[in-house]
Amino acid sequence: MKFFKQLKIEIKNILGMKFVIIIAILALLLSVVWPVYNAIKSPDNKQQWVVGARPLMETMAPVDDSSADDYYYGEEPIIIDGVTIAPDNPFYYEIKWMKEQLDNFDAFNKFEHEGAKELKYELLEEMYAHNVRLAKSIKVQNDYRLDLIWMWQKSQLRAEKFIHEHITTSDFDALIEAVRDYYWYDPYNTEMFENKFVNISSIERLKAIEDAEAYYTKLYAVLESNDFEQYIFMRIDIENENIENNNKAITALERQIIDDPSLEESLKWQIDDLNRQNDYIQSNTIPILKYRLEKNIIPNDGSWQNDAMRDIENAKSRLIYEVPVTEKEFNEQYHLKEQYGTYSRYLDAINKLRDSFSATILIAENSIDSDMPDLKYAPDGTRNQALNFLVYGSIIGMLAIMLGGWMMASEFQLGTIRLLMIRPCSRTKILMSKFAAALLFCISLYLAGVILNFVMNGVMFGFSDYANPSYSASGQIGFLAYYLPKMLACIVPIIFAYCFAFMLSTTVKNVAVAISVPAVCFIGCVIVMSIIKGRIGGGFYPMPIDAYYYGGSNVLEAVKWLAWTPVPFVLLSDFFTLDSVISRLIESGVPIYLAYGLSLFAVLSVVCTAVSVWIFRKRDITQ
Amino acid sequence: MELLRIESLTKVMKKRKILDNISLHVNSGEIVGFLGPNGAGKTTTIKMIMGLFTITSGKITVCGHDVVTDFESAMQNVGGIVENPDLYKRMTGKQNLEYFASMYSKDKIRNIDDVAGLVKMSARINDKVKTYSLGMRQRVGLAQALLHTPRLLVLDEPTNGLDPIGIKELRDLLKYLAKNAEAGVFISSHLLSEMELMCDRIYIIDEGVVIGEKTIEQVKDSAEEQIFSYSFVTSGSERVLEYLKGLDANCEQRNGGVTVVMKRSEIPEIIRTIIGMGIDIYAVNQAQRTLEQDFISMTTGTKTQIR
Repeated sequence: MKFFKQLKIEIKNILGMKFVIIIAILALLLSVVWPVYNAIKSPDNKQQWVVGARPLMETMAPVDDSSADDYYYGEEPIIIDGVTIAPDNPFYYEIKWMKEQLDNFDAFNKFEHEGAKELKYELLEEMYAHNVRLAKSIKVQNDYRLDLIWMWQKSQLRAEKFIHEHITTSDFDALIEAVRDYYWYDPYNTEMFENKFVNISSIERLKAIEDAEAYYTKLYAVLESNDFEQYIFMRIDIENENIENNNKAITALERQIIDDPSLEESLKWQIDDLNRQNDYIQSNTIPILKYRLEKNIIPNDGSWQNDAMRDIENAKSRLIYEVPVTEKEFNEQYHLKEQYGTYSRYLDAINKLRDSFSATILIAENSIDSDMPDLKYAPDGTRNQALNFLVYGSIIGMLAIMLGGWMMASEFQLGTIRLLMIRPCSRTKILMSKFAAALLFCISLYLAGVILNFVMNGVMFGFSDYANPSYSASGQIGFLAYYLPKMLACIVPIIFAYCFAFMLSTTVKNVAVAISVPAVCFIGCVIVMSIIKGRIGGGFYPMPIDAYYYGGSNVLEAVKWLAWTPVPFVLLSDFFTLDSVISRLIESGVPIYLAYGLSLFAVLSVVCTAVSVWIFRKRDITQ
Repeated sequence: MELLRIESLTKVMKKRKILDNISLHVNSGEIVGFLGPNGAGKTTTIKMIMGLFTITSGKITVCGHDVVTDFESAMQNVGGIVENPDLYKRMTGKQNLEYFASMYSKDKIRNIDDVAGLVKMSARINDKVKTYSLGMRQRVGLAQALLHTPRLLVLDEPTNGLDPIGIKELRDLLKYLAKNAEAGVFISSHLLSEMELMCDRIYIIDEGVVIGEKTIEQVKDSAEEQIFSYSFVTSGSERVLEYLKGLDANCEQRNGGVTVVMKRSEIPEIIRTIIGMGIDIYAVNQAQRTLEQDFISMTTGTKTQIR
């Protein structure tokens, strides 16, 4: 009871210190100003992560930033039939160039063969009309429908159609010369060209023209109706066509092998590759297109759903290609042996990698299915703002070092310890009440700042994001349940920093030493971690850490050793933020255990405090 | 009633014996002086009474409570100043007093304004301590020692920095407390003249050993037989010098007067003689009784100088 009375006295005493109160007010102010600053820095964040129905293309105007004007500086918009084609239109330069060609046709073109000039002019006009028609529907560079136009399978289709239309009526050489710019003709292997265009029946030719015609009709319809569903269907049709073409190619290759078995070795590889392509289309491309349609996730609309889709696509394709090789193959491949040493280590690394892809897919799919984004898909969302602010713990840690270093040493240095120690209160009680008072003050300040910030983030970035869960293999977890343990864990390094400074304060009896030594240690740890960050660099995907190139120095060994010291745990908030050094190291498979770090801090704190009490109890007050 | 009892107290610091087997006691209603030169062990003893130093061997009890085993009870009964009273400079005098007062049981705490009045600090008690002079800090230091109506007061050279009026006030206050509140006072000093004026008993300490204990009567009696230096300012210095030389005394002419060293008891006769010789005496000054002289006279010649 006496202790609590003394504690109350000491808390009152701390609250009477002007510099402490000023720092406390500054810290609390920071927790309020921080979200406001972040919100001002990126004002569109507030709307970006709002979950719900998204507008379709029509209202989803391109980001009309003024930088575009700078980029296309000096280019005048082209006006055709009353339609303005702006310089940032993806077809602008093509149209401009074609228009110049058509206007000054003779100046641009010289022809060897008779009739080529007329044919070229006709083709050019056709291409020009085609591009203008596209430019009317697609106005921005990142329009997802450009996929349809720039698909390599269809890149020569218009020229092919033109050849079909004119092959029977025109001079062969003149036709080839005319389409040269739009169709790749191999003069040394004319067989393929002839099989495709010459040696076919007129019915086949008519069908080819009709097919092309149908394709363009459909394409224009998809573009002009701006219908996402039709776009998906068209993409799926094209993918199916690809499978068909691949199958045809496989059949052709197999026929070659039958004709000449000696080719099997070299052609087998091509067949395998085509089969894998088909696999990929069937198991990945088409299901993902269907999934997009089902969830109405329009590519390139900047939504988190698209980021999640992209993650699914990437992870799935990596899962197809990152398949562990057999032990025999491993031993044959020198670079793998060099990198991993033993097969089991390699297997371990690859499996870990595959697990991380599976986890990525799981998180992305869960996010989309429930229409609630995981943390990683709302990097600037309210939740991440709250998690990022946990670095506030380090600021309070610094305050804790200052207070801890000040508490006892100042009493010694100012001589006030004498008048304090002659009171009817045992040394342990006096010491522990001072110890606890300042520590409680720091922790309260931390909690107050974090809670204030939590609310303020909600105000600035919207509370709705707090309702979104986090996903893992073991299920989903609400944000508060996800956040609270992390928030509380950040108190542990504060306690340790405080205990360490307090111990020095009691034993060294010098304020400057008791504050500067822990502060320098703290800064040193942060510097060490940022050096490691510089060494491991950044990467888009998690990689086994063995796969990084270290520029000759063995950072990995150093990090594995450091993981057992307090160094990586000093900036504990790094464990909880996206893309920090620690999270990167952990993703890379370095054994850094949060629970170990927290226990280490707890043990060290107890040791420091015990040393403080033990020394203080039997010390002569010579001041 | 015995308020403070020190039994064969010894303190060893860094292998050096600071205190060697000292014993003393203080009764209620008594002002006890603790006299000794610098470095004799006065402050060390007081720090051990107040719990600032550990005890190597021996025993200290305050009102029957052992200072080591029953520290908190012992300290409830003691108020004191150790060395300079270093207060919290960022606080006002009153805040300092409130802070210290809060550590005692409430029923014994005096009204802080009353205590401030007692030490004549009422006017400045609400100012920051950093604006105080040394004397004012000494007064607040005394106030914090009186806060909880302690039965024993332990004061370490409390007159440091006080002006003559302040010293007199302190003296009167201590006498009042001893007489009316039955408090015991243990006060250290290196000035015997100061001690003489208020103490009932004096312990003399040198080199960590108590070398004498005297009541104030004994001090005064012994003073009669002590040898001092007197200077006579008269209208006829030469004749006085001649006369004194005739008595075979150690004398000389200095600063326009005549200085002579002799026993205190012989002086009245000499004054009568000089007046009888028709010489006017303007002043007779007894030189300050220095500690050195006290030691010379009080200890049987073993301590010849202060170390």
